[in-house]
Amino acid sequence: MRPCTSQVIGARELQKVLGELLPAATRSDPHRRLRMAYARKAGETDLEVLYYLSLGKGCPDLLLRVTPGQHALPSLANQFPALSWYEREMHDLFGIEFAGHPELQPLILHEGVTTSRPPLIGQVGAPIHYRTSPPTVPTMNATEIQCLPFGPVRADIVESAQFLFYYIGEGILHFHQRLFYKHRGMEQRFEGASPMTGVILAERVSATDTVAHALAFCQACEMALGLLPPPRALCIRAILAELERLVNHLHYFAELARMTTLRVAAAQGSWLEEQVRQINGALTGSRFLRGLLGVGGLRHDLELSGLADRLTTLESGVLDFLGKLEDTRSYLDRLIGTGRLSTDVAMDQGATGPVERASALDRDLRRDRPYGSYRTLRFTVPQESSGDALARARVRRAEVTESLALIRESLARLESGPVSTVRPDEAPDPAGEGLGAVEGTRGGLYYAVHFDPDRKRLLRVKIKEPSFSNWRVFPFTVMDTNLMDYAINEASFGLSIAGADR
Amino acid sequence: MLDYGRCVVCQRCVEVCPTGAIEKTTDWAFGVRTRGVLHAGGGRTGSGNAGSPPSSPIPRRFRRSLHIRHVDSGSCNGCESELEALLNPFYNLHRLGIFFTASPRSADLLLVTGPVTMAMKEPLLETYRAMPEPRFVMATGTCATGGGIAGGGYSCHQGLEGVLPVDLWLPGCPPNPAAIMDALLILLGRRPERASLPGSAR
Repeated sequence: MRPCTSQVIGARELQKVLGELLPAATRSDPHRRLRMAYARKAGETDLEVLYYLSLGKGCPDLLLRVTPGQHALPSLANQFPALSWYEREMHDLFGIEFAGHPELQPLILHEGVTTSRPPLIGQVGAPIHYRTSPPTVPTMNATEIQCLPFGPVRADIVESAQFLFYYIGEGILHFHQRLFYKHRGMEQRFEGASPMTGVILAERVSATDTVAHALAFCQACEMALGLLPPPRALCIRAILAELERLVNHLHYFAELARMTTLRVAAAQGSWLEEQVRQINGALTGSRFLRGLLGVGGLRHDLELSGLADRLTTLESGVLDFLGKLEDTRSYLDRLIGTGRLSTDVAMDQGATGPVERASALDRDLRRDRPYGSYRTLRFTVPQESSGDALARARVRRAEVTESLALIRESLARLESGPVSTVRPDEAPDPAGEGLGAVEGTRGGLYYAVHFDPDRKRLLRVKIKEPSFSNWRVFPFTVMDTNLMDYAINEASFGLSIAGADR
Repeated sequence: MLDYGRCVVCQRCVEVCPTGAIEKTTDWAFGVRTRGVLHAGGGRTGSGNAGSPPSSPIPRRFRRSLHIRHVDSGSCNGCESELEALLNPFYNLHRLGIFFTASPRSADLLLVTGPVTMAMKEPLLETYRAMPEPRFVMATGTCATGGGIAGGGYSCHQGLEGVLPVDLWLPGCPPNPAAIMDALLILLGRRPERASLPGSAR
C-alpha cells in the first residue's frame, strides 16, 4: 500500500516494536500516532491483525501486520488507550482474545448476544442472537447516587443510543454510553461486492458524510487497482467534499443554537442548512450528494456554472448568522468552559477532526496527507487551544469560511475534460490492497480494502469512522460535570451515531 | 419484477439497462398503503405483508392533529436528517397540525426509520406497546420498507415486514422532506395516494 510501507512482525515482538515506533517521549507530536487497527481473514483459518501508524509529518505511514497465534494477542490498550475500542471490536467480531486488556467487555455486540461463530469469520449473513441484557457498569451502592438511563429511544428526532448518568444533585459522577444499537454489520456487506456496489454501500454508511465515505472508499480502491482519476474529477470531488462540510457545519450551529435555546438563531441556522441541501439537490439530484463518486473518478459530469453565484448569495447570510451567534452573551455563557477536553486526553484517546483541533492538536489529513486536488489548493487549518465547547464551535466557524473559499478556488480552476479513468495510470498494488484517508467534517476517515486475486471482488473492507474515535473521547468530558451542560456538550462534539456504529 | 420498496436510488438500473427501458426522473418518493403496490412489472404480489389488504383509513379526528413518535431502528441518519428538515422554517410541519412528541403515551403514529437492527427490535416493540390505541405505523425510507442495503445481514432484519403492522410504506433513500410530508397527508386522508408503477399489483 502506498504511500504506506508494510512490515510483517511476530505476535511476540508486537509490544516491543510498537513501543519503539511510538515511544512515550514523542507523545506530544500529534503526527506520530496509531491511526487504526483491524483484523481480516487470511486464508481458511488464519487471521491477520493490521496496525496502521503515522510516524510523523512527512514520513510515509506504516502498516504492521501480525498473525495472532491461537487467535490471541497481547493487549496494548494500557500503553495506547486509543487502541482499546479497536481491540474490543476485533474481540467481538473476530473472536480474537487480547490478553491483559483492561476492559474487554462487549462493545459492538452487546452483553447477551450469542453467535454460532464471531460474525466476521462466520458464514456471511448468519444472524446473531440478541437477548436484552444490562450493560456492564460499576456497582454503586450509595443510596444518594441516582441513575438516569436515557435511551435507546430518546426524545426528539435523534439517533438511537443509550446513556446512563449516575449523579448526585446536578453533578455527574459516572457516565456510561452504550452505542452500537445501530450496528448494521456494514463492513460485511462489502464482502464479495464489486467496487461499483462498494461505492453505493459506502455512501450509505453515514448519510451526512456521504461524500467523505465514498471518497475514502474510492481512493482505497484506486490505490489497489492503480487508477488515477482525471483532474476535473479530482477538482469536483473537492467541491463536493467542501459542500458536505459546509452543510454539516451549518447543521451543527443550528443545533448549538437550539441547545442554548436561541429559537430565532436555530431557525436561521436550519434555514441556511436547508438552502445548502437545496443547492446540493439542484446540482446533483441528491440532497446528500449521492450517486456521483465512482472508482476512477465520477459516474457522470456536473454542470457547476451557477454554483458560485448561489454560494455568494448564501455567504453573507452565513457570516451574519455566525457573527451574531458569537455576539450573543447567553450563547457564549453556555459554551465557555463546557466539556473541556485537554490536549493530553485528546491525544491519548485518539480525538480527531474539529474536536482535536479545538484541543491544540494541529492535524488535518487534507494538509498532512494530501489527496486529490488538496495537493495544490491553499487553505489554513484553524486551531484553538481551550478545548471547550466554544473552542470546538470556533474551529468549525473558521472551517466554514475556509470551505467557501476552497469551493470558490476549485471552481475557478475547474478545467473541462473527462471525469472518469478509462485505463489504469499507475501500477496496481501487487497484493490488491488499498487505503483511503479523508478528512471528513468530523475528522479522519479511513477505508482499507482488500481485493480477491482477480481484483474484481472485495474480500474485506474496514471503515475507521471519525465518530468512532470521538465517541471514545466524549465521556472524558462528561464525568465530573453537570447535567445541565450535557446536551450542549454533546452538540458541541458534532457526533454521528450511524457512522460510529456502522 | 422490480420492487420499488427495495430501491436505494443508486441509479445503477438506469446505467446498465441494455434497452434503456428505465429512465431517470425527478419524481419524489411516494407513500402507499399496500406493500404490494411497490412491486412493478410483474403484476403480482410479493411475499409477507405484500399480499395483505390495505390498512384501514385513519379516523377523521386525527386529520388535523397528529402526534408522531419517531424511532431510529438503525438508519444511516439520512432519514433523520430529512425528518429534522421538516421542522425548519422552509417546511414548517407544525402548520399542518403534525407534531413530533417525546412520549409514546401521547403519540398516534410510530414513524420508523432503519432496517430494524437486532438490538433495536425490542426497544422498537416496547415503544409500540406503550402507545395508546388506535395507533398507526409508518415505515419511512427504503431500509424500513424493504431492508435497504443493510437488511438481512448478521445484525439486521428486513425492515418492518414481519415486525410491526404497517399503515403506510414510504420508500426512498432517503425520501426528501416534501415526500415525507406528502406521505403523512396520504396517511391522514388529506391527499390521495398516487402510486403509479407500471403493472403494479393494484
